[in-house]
Amino acid sequence: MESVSKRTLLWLGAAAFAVPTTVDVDPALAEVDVQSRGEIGGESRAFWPDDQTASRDWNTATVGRLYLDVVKDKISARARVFSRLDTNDRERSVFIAEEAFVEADWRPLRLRAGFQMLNWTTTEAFHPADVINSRYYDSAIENPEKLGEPMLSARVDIPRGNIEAFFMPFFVQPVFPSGRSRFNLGMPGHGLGDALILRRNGELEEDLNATAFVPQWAARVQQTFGQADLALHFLQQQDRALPVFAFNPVTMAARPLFQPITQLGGTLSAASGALLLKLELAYRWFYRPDGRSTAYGPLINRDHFVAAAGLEYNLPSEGGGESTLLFEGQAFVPKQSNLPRELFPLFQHDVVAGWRYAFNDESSRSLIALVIVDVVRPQEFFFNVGYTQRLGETWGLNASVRLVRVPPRNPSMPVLYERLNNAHQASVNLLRYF
Amino acid sequence: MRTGLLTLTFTTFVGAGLAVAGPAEDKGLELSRKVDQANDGWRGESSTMEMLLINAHGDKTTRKLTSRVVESDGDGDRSRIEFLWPADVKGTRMLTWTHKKGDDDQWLFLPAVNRVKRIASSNKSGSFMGSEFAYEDLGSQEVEKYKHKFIEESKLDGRSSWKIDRVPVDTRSGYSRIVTWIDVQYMNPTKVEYYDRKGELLKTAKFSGYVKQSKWWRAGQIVMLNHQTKKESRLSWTDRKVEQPFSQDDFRSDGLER
Repeated sequence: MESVSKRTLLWLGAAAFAVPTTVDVDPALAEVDVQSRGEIGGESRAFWPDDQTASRDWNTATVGRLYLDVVKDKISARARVFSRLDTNDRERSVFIAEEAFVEADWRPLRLRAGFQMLNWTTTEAFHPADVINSRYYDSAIENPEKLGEPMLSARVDIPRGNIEAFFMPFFVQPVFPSGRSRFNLGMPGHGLGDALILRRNGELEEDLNATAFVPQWAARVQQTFGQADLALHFLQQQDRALPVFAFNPVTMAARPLFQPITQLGGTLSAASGALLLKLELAYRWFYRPDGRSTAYGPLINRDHFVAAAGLEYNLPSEGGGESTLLFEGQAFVPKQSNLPRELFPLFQHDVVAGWRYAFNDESSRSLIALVIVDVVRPQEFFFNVGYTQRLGETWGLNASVRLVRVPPRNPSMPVLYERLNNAHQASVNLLRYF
Repeated sequence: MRTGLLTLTFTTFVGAGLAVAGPAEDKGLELSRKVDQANDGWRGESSTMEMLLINAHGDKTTRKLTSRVVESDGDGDRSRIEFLWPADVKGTRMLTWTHKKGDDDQWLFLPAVNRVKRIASSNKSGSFMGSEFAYEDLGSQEVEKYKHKFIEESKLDGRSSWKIDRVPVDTRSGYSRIVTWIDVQYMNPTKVEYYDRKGELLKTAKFSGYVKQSKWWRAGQIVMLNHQTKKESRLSWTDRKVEQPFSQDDFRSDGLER
């Protein structure tokens, strides 16, 4: 994103938080229901070992998120914006319109137009079906923040479910960490270059703005059967999650190249007593041009099937608290075998074990511990331990420690995700809710 | 009776499968039928609730929520709760489809991640929002889920009451038995004693401020005292309305995000 417009957006974001939480409504508009809420506070994170000169291994930031809902009869509007102003690394600062849409609720038909944040997932750690929204990758590794996707959508309610259709006219570039970030996937100090997109007509578009006109669409059916929720989807989209990287030796920058994809997938969650079963599947076809090659070289067939399954088990304790045990696994099956693993995401053949304890007390204290281990390369793991509690009635504190191990196969030349090796971090966040 | 404290009516459903062992059980069922009939037919109910949590040192914190409940033909009620306070949980919504038999269906909308998540409804004994109320106190009180026994007719605060003993059928309940005083005029409880799995008195709920809404009596406040922790929670209602014209479509899981 160009720096001047980014600064403008950040100011707009800051101005958004000046909106009073209680809105005085003109009597003539008394039937308009206006609700707002939000959070504002400080984030800090520190990486260790502090052994990389190109990266800023200490970040402090002011963050805020504002929710605004306006409802009048069957017409409503919602805005949800997020802003992060990093004091150490200005390139990490961001303003995100997570949601900004108008809705007409003419049941059983519902229409929406604007930025939406969809959530097509049932699992907690892996989200193979949840690919619509682009992400902001300088946030949590296991679940990066989402960017709003401009779209038109229509939903028709059916008994115990619904059918939805989406038209998404623009490609929203994912935001990758800058060259100063410890999460930088590019050459140290350089970051990744601007995105490239391959269109379905075979043309390679190199000069993108923040968004580019690319017609995309999706359809989804949801249905509840007994104590299970099933959803199936089909989409044709410009991929956001699995770019190939085109390396420019002059600028030292690797540019992410996004291909069009077709995806068929689904999610299932079913409850039985204290047990919750979760399943998430997707098959992705990557479009490649005739001749299978671009100006940056040949495109390998990366079609693949990915499945994630999980179990969640609740265990009440005598004091009114509750433990939740979590087990999840993901399997990645490329159509073409023996492909370099960096062509696919960080988590491929991984398992998760997690434990969360909610004290269920006045302060809503909770503890969480989570480990993700690659079953093919067990030396690759991610470990997170965190603590959350409310302070008084309006403040919240969360602290976490994360260990990341992705040992490079060639230690002198780490590739992409291998650059995250030993990016251990500790973070403390203090938020005031309003 | 299909609901718990959200609508605050204590009625009972006469389950075909209930074992009737003697005159006390017979009378318990008969009275339960009477209470059930007296509390049936309110269709939909909406209210705003405030909960004051007081710990053993006297420190106080507040919770606020709104609730909507609708009766369902042939099955348990459906309820939708929206949390208003504390601010960090504002916008969180919980949908429950109670069933006469088996586990309830339950979904949670988490605004922070914009996600509707199905949750296991088995943690009946867990604390509700850190209060002395457990989920099972607030959820469905379907009679099929209890064994009933009439104990005696008595006076409570000078008012005629039926004292009824209930034993949860579900082994995951946090209680071994629940003793309830039903006010003969209100056809609703005025006092409930909860005994833990060891048979010791755990909590006492006292109901007050009954007001007649159309033809149904509704309490204005419940004070729940935990005898073991000395903590107390006070639940009070405002803006309570019965006979609300809700439809079952207002209680869909895919409508929880709005």
